[in-house]
Amino acid sequence: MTSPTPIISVRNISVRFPGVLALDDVSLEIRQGELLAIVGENGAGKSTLMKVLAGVYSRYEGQLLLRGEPVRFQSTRDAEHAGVSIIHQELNLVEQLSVAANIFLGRERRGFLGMLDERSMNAAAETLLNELECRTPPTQLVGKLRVGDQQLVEIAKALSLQSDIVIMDEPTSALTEAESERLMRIIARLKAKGVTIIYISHKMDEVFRLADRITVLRDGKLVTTVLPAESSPRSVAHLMVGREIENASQFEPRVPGPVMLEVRNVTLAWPGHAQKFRLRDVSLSVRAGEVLGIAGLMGAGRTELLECLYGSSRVLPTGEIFVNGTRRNFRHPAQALAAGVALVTEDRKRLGLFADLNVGQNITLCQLQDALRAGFINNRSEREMAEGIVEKLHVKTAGIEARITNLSGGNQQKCIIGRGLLTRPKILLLDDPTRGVDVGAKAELYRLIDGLCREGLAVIVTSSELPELLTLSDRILVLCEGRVTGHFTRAEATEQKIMEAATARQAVAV
Amino acid sequence: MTSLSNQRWWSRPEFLLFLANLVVYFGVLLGDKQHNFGRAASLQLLSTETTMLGIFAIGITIVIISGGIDLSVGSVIAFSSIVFTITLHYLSPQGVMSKDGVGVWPLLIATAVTLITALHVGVFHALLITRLDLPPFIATLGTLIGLRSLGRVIAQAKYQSDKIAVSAPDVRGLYNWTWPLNVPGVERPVLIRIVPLVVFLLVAICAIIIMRKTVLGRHLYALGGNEDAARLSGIRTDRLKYVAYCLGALCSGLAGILYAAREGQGNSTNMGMGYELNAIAAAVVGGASLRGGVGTISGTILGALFLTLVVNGIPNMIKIESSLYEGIVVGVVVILAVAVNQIRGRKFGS
Repeated sequence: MTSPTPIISVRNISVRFPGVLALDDVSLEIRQGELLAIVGENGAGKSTLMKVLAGVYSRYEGQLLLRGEPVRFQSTRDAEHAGVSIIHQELNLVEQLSVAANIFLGRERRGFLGMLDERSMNAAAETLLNELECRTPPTQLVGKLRVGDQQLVEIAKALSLQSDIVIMDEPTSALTEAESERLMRIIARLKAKGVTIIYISHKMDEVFRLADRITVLRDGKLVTTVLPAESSPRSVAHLMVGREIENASQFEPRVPGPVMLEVRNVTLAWPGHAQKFRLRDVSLSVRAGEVLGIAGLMGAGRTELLECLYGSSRVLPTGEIFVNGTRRNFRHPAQALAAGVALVTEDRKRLGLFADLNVGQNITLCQLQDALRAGFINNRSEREMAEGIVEKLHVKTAGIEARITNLSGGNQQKCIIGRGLLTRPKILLLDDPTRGVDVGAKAELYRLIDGLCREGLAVIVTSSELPELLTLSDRILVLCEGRVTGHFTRAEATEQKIMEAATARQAVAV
Repeated sequence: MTSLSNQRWWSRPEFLLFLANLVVYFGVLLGDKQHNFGRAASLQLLSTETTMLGIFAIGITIVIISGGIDLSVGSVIAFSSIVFTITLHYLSPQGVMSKDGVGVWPLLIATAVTLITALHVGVFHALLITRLDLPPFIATLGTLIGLRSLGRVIAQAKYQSDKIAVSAPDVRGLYNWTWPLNVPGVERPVLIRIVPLVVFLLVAICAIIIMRKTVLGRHLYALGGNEDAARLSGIRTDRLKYVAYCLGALCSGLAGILYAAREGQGNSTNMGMGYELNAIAAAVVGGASLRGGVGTISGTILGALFLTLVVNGIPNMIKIESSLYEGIVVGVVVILAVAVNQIRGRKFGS
């Protein structure tokens, strides 16, 4: 509007990761001094696009123009030099250093004999912070600050770099109402100074309040760009989901048995965080032979809910959990496994795999007692256990002695599911089981989960992909910021309804 | 599924280390112009040093596999020597200095008391690590420094001396009792120290069985490889740490008894000084990773033999004073051995 050449032009950019096309031929123009909001589901490509703009990824196809000049950032430092700063969702600060030291990290001012010029840096930091309504002394350690103030330190850093393009990745996800309000004011002030802002969020109220234009991404593709005045939160939510109902791949109806798991008013405190609760009054029940899907955006509390049920939460939840009719609030996963509850974790590499153990040892780990003869592990029994699972779940491996790290993501996941199955669970908790798994293996995992369910297992599955939940689940529970904001049977559920519930900031009256 | 490593036997670190041992042994034998190496005295030294180092290196290997570290080895050895000799003095005040000896029961009781004390050191380590979330390095650094001093305080309070002498022949016999072994090509029988060898063999066999054939061992590997995943697999990781540190401390306690018998005294001032580093060196040369989850008992035993061979063998070739150059030789060897393992690991793509 203000200038004829866009400040940033994204031309046909694609980013490939092994097995996935994270960005698919995206073209986009950002005008000088505007606030462009970018919205989309988890995995739509928002963060990938931002990382291209900020120099985190330098391997992409297509072209990036900055003020009409083609550029290719090799590092975030390159981008910062060109005036592009990114404020990540997970802040990039050194908690053990002071506010001023963080703002000038890597560009420290030096004085006499090359020693640090603390005074000048502190003074400059203070000026920057005052501009941002932040009363924190610049000598304070960043680790002692609240998240909202830490974010302002990041913004101050961007300002000190003279950045005229600031990218904010879901900046309000960890803020209180008051802190969010302050951030809104600061954003307005930055805009008045002519700073171009790219704002990623899935909170419709913020987006509609701030944005000059809203760009919708879905499955790595740019869907459309709308003007807030000509659109509505509801229609943008529909654009985010996009796919018209494609539930053709659903499984035959299942016949649920007795209630296996009942959860009443589970609340999980979040000490030291603005949101105070990770989970608030969550109630649910699952029957044998039934799949309960749990939907929700990043940070909605899906993983935390499963951790509460499995007894692996560091903070103990309040509320009641009944397994097979008896009250069981587990305090350690060992108790959960003994009671017939198994969990397959979300972060396979960090929380599931043992890279130093081979495929067979990874499978048998939880149920080695079955392979004991006179107190010692019997090689043949262990081999039979492991090979049984490899066969049943069709794990593609060179053998049970192969390295687990040589398997594909889908096959690693099958091994971990197999590890859980060997404990003969009655309730199986699957946390985003197809994350990082390619399309073919996904379909296979769906069939596997359906088969297990028909054998009488009660299954809870979370996913960041709605079509996956619609394919698998008999019922779907929607979480938003730790509360249940929706509950649909398979017949009622549509992606649109789920997405509306997942982006509703306040709990829908139940 | 007996092997934790997925490589063929000939490319496993244990086999390479075995070859390295042979190369060093025969290399020194050929290079030694004075023909001291390979004689009975030097073979006896090799076997004794390897068994003594092997006992406490096996203990630390278990701790390292479980993802921890135990810096207190040398101090626990010294402290155990004090506990052992003080208990003997208490049980048989006359016997400890007489030619008649202290008798079987005092020996057994003093051994039991020493091992129970060592066990408590292990419990203390695990307590600090699991309850107070102290890093293992710090928890065992504390006892490394503290136990030595505590041993001296106890000795001073009771006997107004840092050293508690024991000259009874049956106590000294724990170290001195030998058995002549005829080795072909060696001029006279090699005197094998029976008790250290038997203790070493028992410790080694038990540790190998535990680590390879029991649920406990597998869980220790899992704990060291990925603690979060182990907890989520229903493994009681805290209990497991108690087991690991107690086994480590027990091995050091056993070594402390044998060193007390060798020196004829309990000595908290300079006995076992720096032995934790020799033990760590033996473990890492034998293929253990300080990141946890990787390592074998057999590797550590070969590592202990390798270190002993190098330390005692190289000076025979290049006419140097063994104790003077020992540190340089061990340092170079440890860095080389671990570097070779690292490069091989990179090739296998871990």
